[in-house]
Amino acid sequence: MYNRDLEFEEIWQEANTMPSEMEITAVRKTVKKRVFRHRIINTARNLSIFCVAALTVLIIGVNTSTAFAQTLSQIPFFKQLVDAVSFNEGYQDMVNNDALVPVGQTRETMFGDITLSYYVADTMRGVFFFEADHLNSGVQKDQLSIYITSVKNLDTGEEIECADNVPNFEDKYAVTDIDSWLEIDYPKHLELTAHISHPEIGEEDISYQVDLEDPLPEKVFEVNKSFEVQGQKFYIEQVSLYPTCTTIQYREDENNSMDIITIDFHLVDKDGNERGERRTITRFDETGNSTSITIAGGYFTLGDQISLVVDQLDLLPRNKRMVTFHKNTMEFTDEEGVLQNVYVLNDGKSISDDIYEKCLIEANRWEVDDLISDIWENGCIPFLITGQSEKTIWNTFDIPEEDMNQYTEEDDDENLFWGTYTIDNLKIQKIPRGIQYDKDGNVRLVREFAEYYHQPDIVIPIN
Amino acid sequence: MKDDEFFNRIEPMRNKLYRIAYSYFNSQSMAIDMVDEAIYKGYLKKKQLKQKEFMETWLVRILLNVCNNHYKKYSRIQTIEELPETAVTEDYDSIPLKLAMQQLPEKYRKLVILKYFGGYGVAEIAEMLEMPQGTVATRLRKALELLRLDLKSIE
Repeated sequence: MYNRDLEFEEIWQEANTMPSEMEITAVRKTVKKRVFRHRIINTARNLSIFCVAALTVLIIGVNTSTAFAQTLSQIPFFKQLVDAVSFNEGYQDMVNNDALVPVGQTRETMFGDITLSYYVADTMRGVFFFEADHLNSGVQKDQLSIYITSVKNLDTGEEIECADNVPNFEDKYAVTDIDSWLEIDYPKHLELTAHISHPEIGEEDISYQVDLEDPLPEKVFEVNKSFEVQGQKFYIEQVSLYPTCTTIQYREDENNSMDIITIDFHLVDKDGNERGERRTITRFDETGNSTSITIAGGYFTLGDQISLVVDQLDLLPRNKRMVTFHKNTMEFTDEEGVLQNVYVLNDGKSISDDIYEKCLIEANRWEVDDLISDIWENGCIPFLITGQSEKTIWNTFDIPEEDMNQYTEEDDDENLFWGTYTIDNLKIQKIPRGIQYDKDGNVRLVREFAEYYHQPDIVIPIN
Repeated sequence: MKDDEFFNRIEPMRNKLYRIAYSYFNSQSMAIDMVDEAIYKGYLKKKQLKQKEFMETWLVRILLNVCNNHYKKYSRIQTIEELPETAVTEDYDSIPLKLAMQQLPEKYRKLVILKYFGGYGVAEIAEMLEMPQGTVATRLRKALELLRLDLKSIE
């Protein structure tokens, strides 16, 4: 016979003993790594479909796209990926070209000496290289993580919050770069506050005050060339190479009927070799249109003949329509009236059966690639892309109850991904289970996928 | 919600999240994976959370779903089968409590976990799972009877 109370006590003690992996810094690092991995997998997923679809590659010279044209199973283990990120080709370029400006400020911490060794800064971002070669006994370098929590311009008092990435000291340097650097005027005198943590020893904040040299000048290319995809026209206006990154200024033609959801570029030299990293940051103007993109690397290594390659372009028709399901009449309508043949499935993949509901609305025919399904099961991508098939799956994504009742047009404007789309030939089969209705008996469903996805691999010489 | 705020709010919840996840699987590694997964999903969806004061409830819901989804696969691998709802106390008597909890029907198991490992009251559980309080109380009582756990001694 078991002593249940004693057994319960044992289970409780085990459950209440939190391991070091649950320390907040470890948790934070894990999340950040997975977010980055999600972006890489997204790119790999797109490229694997590119292979399946066997689109023609137009790139000149070496087809550097094949570096990413692998199946999911061939992507390096995540740890290697993180190692690559923590000291990437872009940073190596800076090292190789003596672009690092020495700082050499050391702080004594509970872990040992942490030195801000070098930096590279321009008007777009600041990249800081830390070393931890003189640590206290028992402190392993690879257990430390460091990130900059704030940067303050000491002349103006401007301050930005950071902590966009959480590198560690596995390599010689822990390199932390600040994406939001361009939000402040280039500082001549700045104060960096860095947060260092060790899963067992603890955490500490340290500050460095640095006088920055004048930044290396950017290389600006006025391109003013256009390209077309699916009848949509886009203009590459300017490409600017900075020591830390490259920005591409582009514009969508006002007569386009589709909006850009995702656009990715990379740079190649005269031999078609890709330079730098494909980490991208997209910026939007006040109307929600994307206008520029930042990628890493290229300043030191591209040489005199540089081309821009348009990797990927996801487009969403501008004629977006919200679809409303009327519980009372069992109809779907958009602003043009009742939709015919609306087909609604409950796929059962909700976060909680009691609270949220995900509905698949099937229109026409759709062949979902197994790879996409696997990725979707793991929650890596927010939307299903279509590729070459005729079927359309409209995924509502998770809509919490409180959001369902409070949905407004403003919510739609916040998120380009959550736009609606024209639906043809939908067919209703059954009532969605657990759907929450507003006071008028309506439920609003939002769509989250890019209908048109392209990998044009268009090459544009910029100089 | 900025990253710092998100993780600052997560910090005091970690112990509770871990206990809930651990009590599902009785495995440290599984519990770590589940909590990481739930926090990751919460991070991706943090924009959806309009009322920050409900963040714990929201995150626990995510965790419960993550645990439940993985539990189905885990229990197949470990050949753990839920006992039918018609099972009686004697069906649980001959097995250790860890296994007995895992063999409880899910609707009982999650209540036991939320109450005794999450530390939530009946009213809080009812609100979290959108069930009547009476249902929560009844099912908890039933679960404790099946497991032969003395309510008073472990509260």
